[in-house]
Amino acid sequence: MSALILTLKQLPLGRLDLSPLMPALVSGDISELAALPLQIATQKIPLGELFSVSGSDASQIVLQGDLSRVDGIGAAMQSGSLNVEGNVGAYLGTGLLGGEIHVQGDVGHFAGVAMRKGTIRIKGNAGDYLGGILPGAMQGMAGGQIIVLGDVGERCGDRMRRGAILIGGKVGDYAGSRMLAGTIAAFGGAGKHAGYGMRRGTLMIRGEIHLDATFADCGEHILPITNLLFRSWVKLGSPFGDAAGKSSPVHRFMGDRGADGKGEILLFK
Amino acid sequence: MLTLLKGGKIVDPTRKLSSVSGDLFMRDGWIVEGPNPGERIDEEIDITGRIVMAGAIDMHTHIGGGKVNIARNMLPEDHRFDPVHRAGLCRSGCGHAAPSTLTTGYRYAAMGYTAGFEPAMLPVNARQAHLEMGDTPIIDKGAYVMLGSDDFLLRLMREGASQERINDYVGFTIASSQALGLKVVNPGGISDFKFNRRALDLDEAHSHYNVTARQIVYTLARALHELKVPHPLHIHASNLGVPGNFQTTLDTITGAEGFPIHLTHIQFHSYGTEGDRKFSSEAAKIAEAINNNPHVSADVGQIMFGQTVTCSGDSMTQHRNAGFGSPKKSVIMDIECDAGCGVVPFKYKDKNFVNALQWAVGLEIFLRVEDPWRIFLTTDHPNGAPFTSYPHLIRLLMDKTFRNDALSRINPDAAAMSTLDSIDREYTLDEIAIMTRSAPAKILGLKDCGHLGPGARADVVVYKEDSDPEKMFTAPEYVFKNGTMVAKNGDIVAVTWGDVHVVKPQFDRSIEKPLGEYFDRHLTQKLGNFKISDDEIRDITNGGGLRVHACERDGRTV
Repeated sequence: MSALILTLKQLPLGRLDLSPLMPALVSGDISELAALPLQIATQKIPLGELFSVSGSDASQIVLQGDLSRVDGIGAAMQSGSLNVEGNVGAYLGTGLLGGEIHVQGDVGHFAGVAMRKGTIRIKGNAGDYLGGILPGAMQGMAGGQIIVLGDVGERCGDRMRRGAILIGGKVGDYAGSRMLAGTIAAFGGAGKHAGYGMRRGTLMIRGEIHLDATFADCGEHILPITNLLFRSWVKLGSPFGDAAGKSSPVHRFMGDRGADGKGEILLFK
Repeated sequence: MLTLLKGGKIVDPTRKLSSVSGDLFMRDGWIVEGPNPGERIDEEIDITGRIVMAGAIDMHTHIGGGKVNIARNMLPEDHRFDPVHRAGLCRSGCGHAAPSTLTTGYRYAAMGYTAGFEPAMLPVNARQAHLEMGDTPIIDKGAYVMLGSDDFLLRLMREGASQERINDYVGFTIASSQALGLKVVNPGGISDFKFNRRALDLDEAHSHYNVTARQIVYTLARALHELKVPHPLHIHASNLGVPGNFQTTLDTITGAEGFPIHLTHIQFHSYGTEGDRKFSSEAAKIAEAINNNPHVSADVGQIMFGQTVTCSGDSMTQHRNAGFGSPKKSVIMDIECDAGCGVVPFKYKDKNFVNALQWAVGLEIFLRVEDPWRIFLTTDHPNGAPFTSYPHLIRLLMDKTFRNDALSRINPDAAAMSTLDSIDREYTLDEIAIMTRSAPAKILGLKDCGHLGPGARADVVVYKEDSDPEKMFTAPEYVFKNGTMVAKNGDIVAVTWGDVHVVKPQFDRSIEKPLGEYFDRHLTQKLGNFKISDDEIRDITNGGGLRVHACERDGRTV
């Protein structure tokens, strides 16, 4: 069987919500895919009118075309792989339950929000609320891994509960805001107010950072756990593997003391 | 315009018609006897063999007012899995437990409901409630205004004011808030909560006003009787959800001393303290009390398993239950000394002993109350379950095998505590029509609703008969509201705007003098702004009308 390839033919004005795709593939027949109604702006259009469909293996999906106005790609995906050859819109991999999503380009806001399991790999940059929370929910990302080679927007890992977000570039303002647990590592520095309102969890930052006054300086430490972590990232390549093998100390800050104060920011070299 | 529905089987308990084949004529929104001599029939719809009933009436459903809006705001995670996109004639909204106003109207209409009554409108919040209900399409609306924990009434009672004075205040409140009835919620308890009381029994005196819940119930029930308001006092009794509260409920029945009362969501008030877990069903005793007291009616407030949100004026109870909230969030607030408000999301689980027994208690009450004219089909939307679960509930009542199957899947300890499996009763189609149409119209005093006789509003539902009542009641073939076909096989085909039903009891206007002084001194608005005029109601109903029902009532039954 060959990979299921969906190529965007044309996109009318407005944003397309592709989130019904994955649940439809799990419950329905692939032959009925072309009839799947998709919401775009105020109208519902069958998938077949927007995408040309080829292949039949729903465990390997390839999306082609300019998907920068397509939201909810890979939402609620449970297994298999999804490759996107370009930029995508918002809500990539919302509520991901398993499998791998690869994006060659940039992703919009809210990628990986409320994800539970699985992996999202992004070659380009990501928008705000990466691995964050859906509006009004109690918890953000609760498991799995997000790996971004480029930069990330604001509020990365907002109310994150578990899992890891690895960022090759810079993470924006309010990284790890209101975080409950989990790990965020950025290799290109962080913006303002990192860890704002974080209760527990770990932010690991290499490079420039502005720390808020609500974080307490706990001094430099050599922590065995960081060495284990760095070593586990070697297989991800540069820059994630760069810190491995050096037993250099990390500078530890505890906070946010305006919240529970059990979170930590580790600055590493 | 004259429309003929030809050859349906008419089920109209008000006129004692049980699946009688016949024709139904509708002219300009009303049901008529037949064409005038020489009149042409403009439209003829062949419904041979179909079941025809009046539009269903939900006499207790939280569809407007501040607490519903809080519930809507509070549960984005619930709306997220039931998005309502703009489609055809229908505008977008949100769904599941606390749907948006628009979705509420569409979904009720598609299910064959043509009227819904908001049971807990706070006087001070009445304008907001009417605005929300005015934004609910298709169905008719109305509301019961809430008294019983408000400062002014409790002051009157403490001072020993005469019944006439209290009647004036009740009449003023109903008329100026444009209500159809009066509700009392946890009499005195919502107020005493603010004096740090966490439970208030029927005969305990309020710690500040020294008035008991029993006195409040009696005074208000009597006031409505003397004002001749058709709907008796709508009582959300004390001790909601507390094990052993069946005794409070029985005492509330006697406390009304023969004045007609309506006990609402009685399922939540029928618990005993038997068994290892000190929680048991006393449905049999409650049902017996209803059977023996013809002045008492009740709606059930059945729970259904799944996610919902409880919203109530009973801040005392909701404060107690806030810890059980799922997802864990809640709002408990006071509303300008008028009453309270508590919103707690809740997930009823079939494997949970308490929830499973609650489910069985509700069904036991349905099946043990013999007179369908005095028991009403509600889930206390959204407190027990969203109203969209009514077809499922109807099947549970009409199909014993289906019910026992469901019983075998719930928590086995709860199933063992229940006598549900020993009840053979199955509701007939006529009885369902009584409890969802004829009886609500009768108890609310809506003379032109709930039946298909000439002179009634042309709210007509045509069902395709099906061995599965759930399927039959989910998507009727045709729904007519005021003579316009609004839904067809579950799809909305026209969006109209329903009327607002009110009563205008007679009272002595001199009550406005002390009230005006009270408003100036204690409240955030002037008395003049508090009152809602008829024109204002007409303005905010999107073209729906204002229907005033006569205040007349038969004598005391006991």
